[in-house]
Amino acid sequence: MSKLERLLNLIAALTETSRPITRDGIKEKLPEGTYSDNKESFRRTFERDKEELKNIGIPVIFDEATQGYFVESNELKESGSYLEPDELAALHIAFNLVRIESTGQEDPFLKLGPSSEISKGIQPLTEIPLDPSLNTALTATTEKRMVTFAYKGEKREINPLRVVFNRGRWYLVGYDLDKKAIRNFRVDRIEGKVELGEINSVDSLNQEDLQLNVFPWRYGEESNFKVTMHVEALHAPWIVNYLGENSVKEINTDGSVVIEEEVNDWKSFRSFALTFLDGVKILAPQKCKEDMQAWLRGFL
Amino acid sequence: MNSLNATDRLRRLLAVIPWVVDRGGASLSEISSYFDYPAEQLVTDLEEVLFMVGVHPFTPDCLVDVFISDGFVEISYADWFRKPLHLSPEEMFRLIVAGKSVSEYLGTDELGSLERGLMKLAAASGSAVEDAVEVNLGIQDRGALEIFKEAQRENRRLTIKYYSYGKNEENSREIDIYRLFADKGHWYAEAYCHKAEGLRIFRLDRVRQVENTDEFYIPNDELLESFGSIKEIFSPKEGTVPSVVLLLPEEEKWVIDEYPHYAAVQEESGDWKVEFPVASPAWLARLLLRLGPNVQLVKAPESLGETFRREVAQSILKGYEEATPQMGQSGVSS
Repeated sequence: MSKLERLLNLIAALTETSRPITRDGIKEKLPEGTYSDNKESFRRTFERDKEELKNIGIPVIFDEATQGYFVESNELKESGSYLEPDELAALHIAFNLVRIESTGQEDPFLKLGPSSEISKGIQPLTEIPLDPSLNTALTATTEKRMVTFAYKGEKREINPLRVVFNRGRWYLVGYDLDKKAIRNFRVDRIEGKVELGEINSVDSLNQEDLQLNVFPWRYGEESNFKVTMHVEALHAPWIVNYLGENSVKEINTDGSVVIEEEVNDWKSFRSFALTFLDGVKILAPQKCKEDMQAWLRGFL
Repeated sequence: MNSLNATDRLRRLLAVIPWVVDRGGASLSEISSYFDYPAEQLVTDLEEVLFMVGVHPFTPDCLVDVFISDGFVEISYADWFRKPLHLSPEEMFRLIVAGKSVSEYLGTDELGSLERGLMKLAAASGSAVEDAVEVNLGIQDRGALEIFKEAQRENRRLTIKYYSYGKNEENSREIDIYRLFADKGHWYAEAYCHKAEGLRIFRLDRVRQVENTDEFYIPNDELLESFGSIKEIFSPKEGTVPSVVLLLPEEEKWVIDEYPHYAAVQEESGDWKVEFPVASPAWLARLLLRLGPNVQLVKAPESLGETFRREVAQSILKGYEEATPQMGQSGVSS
């Protein structure tokens, strides 16, 4: 008997039964020769089959009391939460508009069903990269498990709160137990393996605590200080829109502005300021202004 | 897809069976196309495998009934396979990410079906994935995005005032939008620029002013067909623009992740030798200044070499030597 036929018969047997069936009971319920008569060989094949079914979305559950196996009941259909054709079509379109890096095993529409309304050759709206550590970060977040990993050469212990896609990168936002503060970690910069703690070992935080710092100069570990800079008219509209109206200290008659911004990582902010070439001038604090001049003199 | 293994076939059959039963039958070609199931394999699996499947005692009344006639498939007595499959956390994650990305593009009044679909999935899966994931494709470009979307829908020509990052200047153009997309935190429009007489990419947060015109355009099919992947847009083909070779210390390796490059090789010293295409001198100036004086310019066209780097640094320094605008003197407090 082919593997495909064996798995289909196994699903039918586990679904048809109204109560859990033992492993031997399953063997009896399947056509002769489905599983080997050798006990060990039967056990191993059955375990592999169970794993296979779990991977394709049919978890086979073991019931301690009866030492039997069963497949969960049909809650979805009973609760009337089947997808309507328009909902399925909308999900299909969304899935086609967003190109997510794939290992080829995760097309959810084999389970949800096709839609006749999809147009082929749709132009992608965006392309989203994935990262090997992302799945672990997601598992840690959904199962509320503490994570331990190396980042910038340091060991970090984090209570994960969210995974966020921002500026083309995946971040893990979490409470850093050592720094006693919320920190963002670029998932692609996590070094080596992510160790997972116990399930449900992390308390939830308030949603407002989960603001992702969008500016890289606010990620640093330096103590927070304010930098003031003059921005010429050509760049003023963009920078005001980017940093927000609250950052504006002064609007000049020539269209230039003076901006004040909170900084935790001066090196990163200096890099940002330099992207405006001679359109931005650091005014204060004096040590930052001097550092910028020294940096530029280094090129002469 | 040519040859499917047993798991691929099982995944597909479990999806095909309830779908065919619910519709009261379907054609082989329809099934094959919707489920990416090679026709020959599909027929074999239906006729030779599914036909033999059922429950104890496997008498004809306990077997799945598959009937194929003139390319039309009917399946009955297959209730064991009507149980909806659980989405794995990875599958759920991909759907949520796709759904949330598109939600950001759509206005709230267009969201209906997608939002309902996502909510049902999240509720049915009992998974916390939806709350755990946040997707921000592009921030703070909402106003321009709405106008661009509308113009694309109506094929309406726009007049824009645009800050060109490469030239470090502002100019006006008339554009016809062909596609909108997000990349690395920004929204972009790929549009036909009447000034440049060709397709150009515009970052929406650099659009300083946008106005509808009374003119409409007919999309050019040839242009539409020429579109490649988003990644390709930002990776110029070798030889089309000048390039420079930099020697980057390990701690500046981020540049390789961040910018398109032709080649990156790690030297024995641990430094990275990287060749970057230079879309514009202003782009290179910014990169060199951010990296600092210790980054070695291994190879560069004469106009983009050491002298260029020194002169750019000098021009910024000059600004610091001139009277620095003092706060509270010439301005109006905000």
